[in-house]
Parts: sequence; C-alpha cells; structure tokens
Amino acid sequence: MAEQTHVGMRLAALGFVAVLIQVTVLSQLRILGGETDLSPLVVAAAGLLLGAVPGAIFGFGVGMFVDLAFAQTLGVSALIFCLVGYGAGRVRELRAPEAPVTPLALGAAATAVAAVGYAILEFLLGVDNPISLLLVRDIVVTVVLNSLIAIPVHSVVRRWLVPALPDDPRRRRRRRAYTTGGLSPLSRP
Amino acid sequence: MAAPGDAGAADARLRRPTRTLYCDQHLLVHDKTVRRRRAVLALLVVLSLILISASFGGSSSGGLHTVQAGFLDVLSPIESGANKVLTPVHDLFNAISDVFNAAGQRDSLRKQNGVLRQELSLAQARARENADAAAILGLDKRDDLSADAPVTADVISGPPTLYVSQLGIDAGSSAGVAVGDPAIGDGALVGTVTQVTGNSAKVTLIDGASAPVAGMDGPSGETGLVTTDAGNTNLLTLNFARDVTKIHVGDQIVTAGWQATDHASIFPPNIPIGTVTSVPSVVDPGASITITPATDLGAIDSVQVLTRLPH
Repeated sequence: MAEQTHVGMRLAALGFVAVLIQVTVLSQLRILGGETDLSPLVVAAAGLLLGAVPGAIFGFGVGMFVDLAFAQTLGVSALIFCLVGYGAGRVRELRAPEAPVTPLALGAAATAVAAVGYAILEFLLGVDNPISLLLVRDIVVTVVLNSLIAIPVHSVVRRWLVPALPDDPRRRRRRRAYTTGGLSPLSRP
Repeated sequence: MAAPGDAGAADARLRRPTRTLYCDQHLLVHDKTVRRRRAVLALLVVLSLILISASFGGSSSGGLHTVQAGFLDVLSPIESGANKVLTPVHDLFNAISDVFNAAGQRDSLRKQNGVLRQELSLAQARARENADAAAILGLDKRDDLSADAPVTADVISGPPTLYVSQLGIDAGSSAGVAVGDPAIGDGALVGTVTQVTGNSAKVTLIDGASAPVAGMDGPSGETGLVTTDAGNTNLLTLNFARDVTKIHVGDQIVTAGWQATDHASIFPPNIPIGTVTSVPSVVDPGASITITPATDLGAIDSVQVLTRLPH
C-alpha cells in the first residue's frame, strides 16, 4: 500500500511538471509548423513501465489537467490520454518489449493516436476545422518531433519511476547477471 | 498388447480435462485481473464521456466552467512563475528555430522591404495631401490606441493542440480585461479575449475565432468579413466584398471599425489584419480572398488588450 502511494505521488508530480512544461514552454514553440507534445509521450512511457490500469488512470489524470490548464472542453484529453496509457500498458503486458527503439515507436504511435483522436473528437463536437493537407502536414511534423524526443523522455520517466517500483524485471536481470556472470543459476553445471 | 477395452479407458482419461488446484487458481486470478482491467477502462471512458457531455452542453456559468475558472485562477500564478523561470529555455529554443528560418526570412524581408519603401514614399505623399482634410474632419483623433486603455500582458501559454488557436496571458479581470476585448500583438490584430479569470485570460486567435471581423482593403477601401479559413489554421479569408476586382495580391487588410455581427467584437479601425495572398481569378461575388495574418500568430510573446471599447 505504501509502495502504491509512493508510485502515485511520483506519478502526480510527473504529470504536473510535464503539463507545466507543455503549457509554459513547448506550446509556444513551433518548429516547421508543428510543435512537440510532451503529454502523450509521458503517458505512453508511464503505461509502458507500469501496465495498462496504472497507465489508463495516469492518462486520465494528465488529460484532465491538460483540459483544465488549457480551458478546453473537459474530458476530451482525458479520454484520449486514458486510451493512450491503456494501450501502452497493454503493449507491455502482451509483448514485454525489450528493444531499445520501443519507446520511440510507442511515442510516435501515441502521438499519432492522440492527434487523430483529437481530430475525430473535435469533428464530432462540431468544431469547424476539418482535416486539410496543412493539418495533416502539421500532425506528421508533430509525430516526427515527438519521435525525436521519445527516447530521452522515456529515459527521464523511467529514472523517475523505477526507484518507486516494487519489481523491475530488467533490474532483476542485471543484478543476476552481475552475481552469476550472466548465467542463470539453473544453467550452471 | 493392450486390450481394446483398456485403450478406450485410456482415451477417456486423456479426453477428461485435467483440473488441478494450481490451474484453477491461476485461471481465476487471470480472469479477475482481466475483469478489473476492463472495468477500470470502461469506468474512465464513461467518466470522460460524461464530462465531455456536461462541459460541451453546459452554460458558461455552469458548475464545471466555474471549477475550470477556479482552477485557472490557481494555476495562472504558477504558469506565470514557471514561464519566467523557463524563459532562458524558451529563448534557447527560439534561437535554434530562428537559425533554421533565418535565411528564408532574410530573403523574404528583403523583398518586403523593397515593396514597403515604395509604399512608404507613396503613403507619405498621400499623407501630406490628406493631412489638412483629415484635420478638418476630426479623423486624427485615432492616432494611437491610448484612448482604448491598452493593457500589456505577457503570453504564458500557447495553443494546446493543433485544433485550438488560443493563447494564455497574464492579465485578467483585475487589470480590466473583459470577454470580447480585442488583443493586438506586434502592431496587428491577434484575436479576442474569450475567457477571463482574476489574473489571467485566454485569447482566441483570429485564425481560430468563430465570429467574423469587419475588414477593409487598405488601398481600395473595399470592405468584407474576415473569417477563418476552415482547415488552414494559419490563413484567413475575406468574404462578401462587393467588388473583388479592386483587391489585389499584396494589399493590406485592416479592421473596418464596425461590428460584423451581433455577437462579434468591435475592433478599432485601421489595425492591420493581414496581407492578401490570393485573389480568385474568376470574378465571383461569393468568392473568398485568402489573407495571411500580419503577425506570426505562433510567435507572439506579448499582447496589448484594448479594454475600453464598447461590446
């Protein structure tokens, strides 16, 4: 229970700082017409590290904070980031990806899902801003920019969350490799 | 050699499901985990949909909007502080971006400079001719915006998504800012204040505004309604001009100074809106004229909110 509270507090701090950086710095920087969006990357990284349920809850919380901070229609970002966090968590649970490029691929996918999700929801809510080539170009630029920072963001999120996690398979494997010379005790003669 | 009866019994044993205590427990735990996971997701999705329905359909004075305004009130000092602390980071990114865009901007500005020199000489000549007439008519009362009680505010947040053209500023109702006030940035029209809290406000940019702006072609005086270009977040259109043949590419579009619709804001006259970038080749009264905003709406650091205008 104490561990869960510890993880929850770290997640809350992570979400708060990430959205604050997004609001104050990244939302004001346009690069090649697009802009970096930290929120889906942080949610996807948390989902990848913690699993589907914590990922979905964290995504919902971050989305609510984004909606409140940007004075948007409440629930739109919460719904999208909740699904992004859940999806990233399911990737971890089903595939247990170990490849170094996993955060990059997942970050790109999370950004694309968030951007397209926004487009669909805004369209359903009747906002007069249909998909155009310019908008598609901006979405592609945002996905590319987010892909570039996905691995560093995942690394930062991992460094922040891992000390609070009760069991990290990679850490366990490293420890075993250190004590047994890389071999499982079962494989020793 | 086994008897046929023995073989049948063995088959029956094999077909019987092997049920062990460990397997049952494992499946039970797995089912419980799956059910819990799905229940949490369903709960969050339903909660989001309820919030969307309540927030989208609710009035601006409803409970959710009050909560949102209260949250913004609490957050705006933090945003403002973080914005100041992170200004060096912001400047660093801007400097990197400027390096990439510098060459293109230099060439574009050189061309623009040449055109502007010609226009300046022409305008100075016309200004001398019109000065006496303007003085007689009393039109020189609007030399600057000081009569509109401008409030200078720093931008503390940018557009949240590609679909929302909105800025957050660090001046609110305590500084006299009200919903509907026009915002000016870099000497051009930027947008309208659409949400106000005590110490902060949200400005909806002109490329995302729902209400039109009454615009006028500078050289010809043709008027029309400036609206967003649906799907193109960085462009505007001028509609309902009576004679589009009088409007040419490169013309400056300025505010006309009258209210476009009942719900639109009143903007002071002669504030630059943008430059005409394309005119329909076929003469069509219903055709739209494309305008590029006079200022880069994605790179505004501070704005002036005109607080003493009738709404």
